[in-house]
Amino acid sequence: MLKKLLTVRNLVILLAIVALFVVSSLLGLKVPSPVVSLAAEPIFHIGPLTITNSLFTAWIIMILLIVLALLTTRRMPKDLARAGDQELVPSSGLQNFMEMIVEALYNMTQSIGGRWTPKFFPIVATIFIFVLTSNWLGLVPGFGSIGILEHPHVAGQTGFVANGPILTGIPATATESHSETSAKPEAQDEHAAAEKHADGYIVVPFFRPPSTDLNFTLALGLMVVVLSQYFGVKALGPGYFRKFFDTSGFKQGAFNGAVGIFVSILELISEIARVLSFGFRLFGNIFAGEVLLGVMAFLIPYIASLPFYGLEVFVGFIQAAVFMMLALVFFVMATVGHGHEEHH
Amino acid sequence: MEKLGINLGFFISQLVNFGLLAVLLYLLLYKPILNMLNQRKERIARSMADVEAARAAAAQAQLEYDRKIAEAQRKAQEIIAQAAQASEKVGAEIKAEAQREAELIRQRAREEAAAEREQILAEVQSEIASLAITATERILGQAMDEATQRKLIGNVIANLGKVQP
Repeated sequence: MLKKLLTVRNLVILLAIVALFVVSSLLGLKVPSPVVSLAAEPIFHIGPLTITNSLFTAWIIMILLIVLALLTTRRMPKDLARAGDQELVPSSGLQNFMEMIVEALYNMTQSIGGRWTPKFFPIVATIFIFVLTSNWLGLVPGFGSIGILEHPHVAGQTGFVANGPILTGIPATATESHSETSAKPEAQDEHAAAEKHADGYIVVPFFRPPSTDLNFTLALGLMVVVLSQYFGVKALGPGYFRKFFDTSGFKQGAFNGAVGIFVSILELISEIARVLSFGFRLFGNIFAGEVLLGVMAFLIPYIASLPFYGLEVFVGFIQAAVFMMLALVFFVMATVGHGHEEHH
Repeated sequence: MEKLGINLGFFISQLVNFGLLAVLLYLLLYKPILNMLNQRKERIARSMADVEAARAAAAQAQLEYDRKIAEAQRKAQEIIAQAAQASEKVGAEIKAEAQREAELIRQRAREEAAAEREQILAEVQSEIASLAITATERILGQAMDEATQRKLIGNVIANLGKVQP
């Protein structure tokens, strides 16, 4: 086993890795300590509107997905009823792939949603696709690392240090930093401590996956909860809201009535809590993943973050699937109603 | 809220983003693909039904074919048998006719032969008689009278008639 691993090629790879570590430490190319910003940072302004990087990325994802959709359906016949059989055969790999995804999502929605599938499907499928793209785009190199150099907004949060003319980081974007003059030395950082003239900088990335922005995740959560109320009313009429004001228990005495009221309050609270659990689950998982990758890269610059990268790919998929499934399940629960519980 | 970056403006814009994306993807991606899948499913179901029908028809046709072949064979056999019977009958008829004709011909030939012999015999008798008279006249030279002559000749002819060749 060991002999098999000791090939010339593997030895060369090992040497190259060691050389990489040695050279980078000789040159002082240290990966910056990760700057953790819970909030999405503003990157530019359109008139009075401030645009954050996560909003900007959301737009890019939307454009990407719409272009993808257009490319997918480009060769589909316009008039399906009159199209020849040959025209119905998928004509490109992309079309085939997207058909597979849409069909899989549709079948899954149908297995849970039943007759409500046509209503649920566009919402849950968009949730899945949007969130998945967002999660995975965050793993693309350049996301969260290419950006504007700014002085830290919070003291002690320094990502980059001016090392003479060289910034350990992305020199190309150094020209974009707009306030190089009024810099304060950051003594707390260990890099800064070594350099007398050190100016602290942080990178404000151009791109930030929307799923690491609470605005996005909470917006989705709120949308799901509001839509589940809508579907509930649509399926059960005004009677849907009875579960929040359940007074039917009073027929069996004051105690049962009180329990019913208590349960109703719990229902109401759980409905509101769903927004938070939805929002913070997605945000927490993806944001933590980004931070984890940053920290791993800071501790051991090269090899060590690979397994975590794989993990984050997995987590990104799982979170998208979980968000979609939960949304679907809540929709279905709302449409089914609680009427049968009164018979107990 | 400030620290978490939650901001009503961004919140609403993300909500709008999602809604927009959902509508656009519905129009551009889900609907065409689902329609296409449905259409394809329909076509496949239809062609499966067609295949089933064609198979049934083929089986029916095979059955019909077999039945017709059997019938044709039966008919051919019948026709051959009929033909054989008819030919036998015709042959027998022809044979009978031929026999009958042959018999007739033989009969006639026999009758003709008999008649001819009679006639020849009569002719020969009369010839012999005249020859005998002539010869006798030469030999005797008018010695006998007519009555004796006739008597003698009559005797000779009677003898001749007895001695049939």
